Amino acid sequence: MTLTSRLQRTSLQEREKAARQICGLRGSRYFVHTEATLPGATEEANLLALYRYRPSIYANAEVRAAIGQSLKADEPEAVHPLIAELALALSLPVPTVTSALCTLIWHCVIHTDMTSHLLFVNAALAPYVQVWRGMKERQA
Amino acid sequence: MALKRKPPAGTIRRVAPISNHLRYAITSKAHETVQCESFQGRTLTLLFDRDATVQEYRASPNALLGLTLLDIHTPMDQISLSTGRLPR
Repeated sequence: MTLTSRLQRTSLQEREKAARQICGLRGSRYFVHTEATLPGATEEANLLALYRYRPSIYANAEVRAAIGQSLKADEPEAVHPLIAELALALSLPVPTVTSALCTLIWHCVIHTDMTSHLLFVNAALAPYVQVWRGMKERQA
Repeated sequence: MALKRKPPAGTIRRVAPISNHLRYAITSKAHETVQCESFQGRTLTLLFDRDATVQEYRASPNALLGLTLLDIHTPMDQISLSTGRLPR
């Protein structure tokens, strides 16, 4: 991992060349990441905010099944009405539904725009956040 | 005075903050200690964590065919994928 401005350095090019040869011998591939291939500031912030929902303790089978029925493939839906609707239908607290939904976003079961705006404002999901069903749900 | 600690097992050295860079020691999805030497490195581990096709990732080995410290600034370049696709 380096900066694009450093890619032209002779020492770095030699190191990269040696690494590619070694990785080639081992049957693997060597990649150099730069700031151009990594997420921007907004996506970074969203990844860090969603990271807390990685544990499976936040998952909820009822919410997942209900989302599979409520969301249409590739049709974005506002997250706040969806959470309220699910909480009412399943008789679950809103924070439970919110956590379950964020877990599904982290694990790419449902999708949202991570690059354009912050998902969380004042530690709560922003009202403009929209979600849509992902590949896994469509295949299920 | 900062305390000096041994690097994690199988790792060249304990990473240090270079200029204004942050350093991290995190636990990967394979329950191994992985060091990051910048916030960009930490971001890359988040992508690996989120991508279900990445089974594990780890820090630099002790030596890469005799060339120690080869990837001293790229501590998370060893990843195992269930498919041939890289996350980025």
